[in-house]
Amino acid sequence: MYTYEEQCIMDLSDNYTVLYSFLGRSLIDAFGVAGEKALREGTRRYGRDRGENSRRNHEALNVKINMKSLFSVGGDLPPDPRFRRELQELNPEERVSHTLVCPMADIWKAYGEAHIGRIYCEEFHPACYSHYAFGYGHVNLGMTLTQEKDEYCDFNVVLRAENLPKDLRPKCFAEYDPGYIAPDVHPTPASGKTGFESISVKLYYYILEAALELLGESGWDAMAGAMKEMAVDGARRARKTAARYARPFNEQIVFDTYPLTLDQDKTQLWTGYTANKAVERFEETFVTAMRGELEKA
Amino acid sequence: MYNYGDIKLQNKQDAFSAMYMYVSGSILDLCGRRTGEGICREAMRRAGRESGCAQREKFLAANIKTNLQTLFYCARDYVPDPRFRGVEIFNEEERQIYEVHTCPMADFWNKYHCGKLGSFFCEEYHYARLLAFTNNVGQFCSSNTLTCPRDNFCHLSAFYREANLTEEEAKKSFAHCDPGYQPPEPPADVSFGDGIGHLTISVYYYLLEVAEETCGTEGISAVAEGLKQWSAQAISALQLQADHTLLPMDAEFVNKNFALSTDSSSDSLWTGRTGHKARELMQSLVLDSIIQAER
Repeated sequence: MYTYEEQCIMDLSDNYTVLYSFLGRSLIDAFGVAGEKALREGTRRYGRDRGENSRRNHEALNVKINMKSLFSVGGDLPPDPRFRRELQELNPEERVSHTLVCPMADIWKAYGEAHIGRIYCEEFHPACYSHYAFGYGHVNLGMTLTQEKDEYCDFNVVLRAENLPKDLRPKCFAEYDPGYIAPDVHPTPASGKTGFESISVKLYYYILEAALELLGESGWDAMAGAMKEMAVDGARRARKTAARYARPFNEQIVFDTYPLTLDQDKTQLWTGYTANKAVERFEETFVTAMRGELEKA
Repeated sequence: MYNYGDIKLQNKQDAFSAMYMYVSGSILDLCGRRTGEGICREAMRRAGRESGCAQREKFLAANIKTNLQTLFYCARDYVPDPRFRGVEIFNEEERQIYEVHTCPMADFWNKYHCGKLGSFFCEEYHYARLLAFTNNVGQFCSSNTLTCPRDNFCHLSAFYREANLTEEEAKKSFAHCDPGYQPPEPPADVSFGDGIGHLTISVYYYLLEVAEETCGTEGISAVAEGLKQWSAQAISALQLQADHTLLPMDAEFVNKNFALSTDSSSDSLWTGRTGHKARELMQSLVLDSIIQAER
């Protein structure tokens, strides 16, 4: 059995995962290809934001911007104990890894949303990893657990030194930077709540932004229903964890298991992501529905 | 067992693989490993882009939809040699996924311990080709390649999603986005000989162009040294191939078994390749030597 802390990380991860499929489903059901376009565009923007954030953190640590750093220096999320990976290669130019068990794929499949999960895999990873590497990284991700017939995810992510402009090579590879001494870095381990809250805020924010840009206010009308469904689904997961660990179903367990915080005084993570009335829309829909679930308790 | 018709195609294919290996190897030897790798990668991107753009323009002119199914199966500019063995996993307009279990190019390069050189072609050419064909909207993933010592098959995937296109592009790419569209009778694939000849000239031309741009005369010299090595290997290979088929290595045999016509001045595949004295260099360093070796 998992500890309560491990269970919370898994719940945070699952709630983040289905946030994507709830929002994606609402847009695709309401707008078809146009909804999928907004979802894909929002996913790419989200990926670029996370890539930029990782790069900024790594530059601050004075580590080289390459594939080894990207996949080994201070990630923005704690490890989910359910992931199983077989790392085949990790060097500054290449990271080759097979994901044998992916809890994100598993939950999308359980919700019948593997197709939407595949959209995430197809758009997020190239946008994030390539943007991290100044647009010169190449993500080979032809096989994913979200795609029919595939039995593992085949990540082959490369950044070739000789494909970079000369001025970027010293930033990315130690052998092009004479005198560089690699720092002994010990980044603070990522916190489950903060990590998942941060990425959930961004994911919601960019999908909302793309939906409003491409579909207008009716894009939000479609998403609003999904926000309420997400709250009900998140409450169901929190109730289950509460029962399993003999805890009351209350605002604390929702805080522990749901990435987005109900009480805005308890989080700073919306800073920079408040345009398009993102917070107000979140409060009107998700928070109201979640508080309704809490009142039932 | 392959018949004589198959073997001729294989010999042409191997001539391409040898040209690439000797010329790119010489570039790395003489221009330096780092600079040489950069030259080869950029050259493969240019060659790939040229092919992708040409296919796109050809399809648009012929009123053929520009999706992945047409790219992979319609009016192809290169026809694989009979030794290719693979499995198709998805064959759709938006998605093409297949595995290659035997690849004569990888076999050739690996035999000479030059898989790394081959990997520049695998990584850059196909990706650039797909990007050009799809106006930078598609994705190409080579997750596994036979030129990589870790792998024992190639896993190649291409994605081109309607949802990532403008309405105008979607209309050009998918019949269901163009009500009333009547597909034309598609042009035939290029012949094997023309396909491999074009690929050989294109890849060589861009290796020379980028080597010259990057290293000037030293770059041209590196390509020339590679051509001399290829010439010696090509003559030896043609003689062996002729012996194995009990035929004289004469002009007819060379024409049927070598990737290029020995008379480049009358070969239409060189049309438009006027820069860098590319044709003249190939004629004097490779093709004339082959003519002299003919019996």
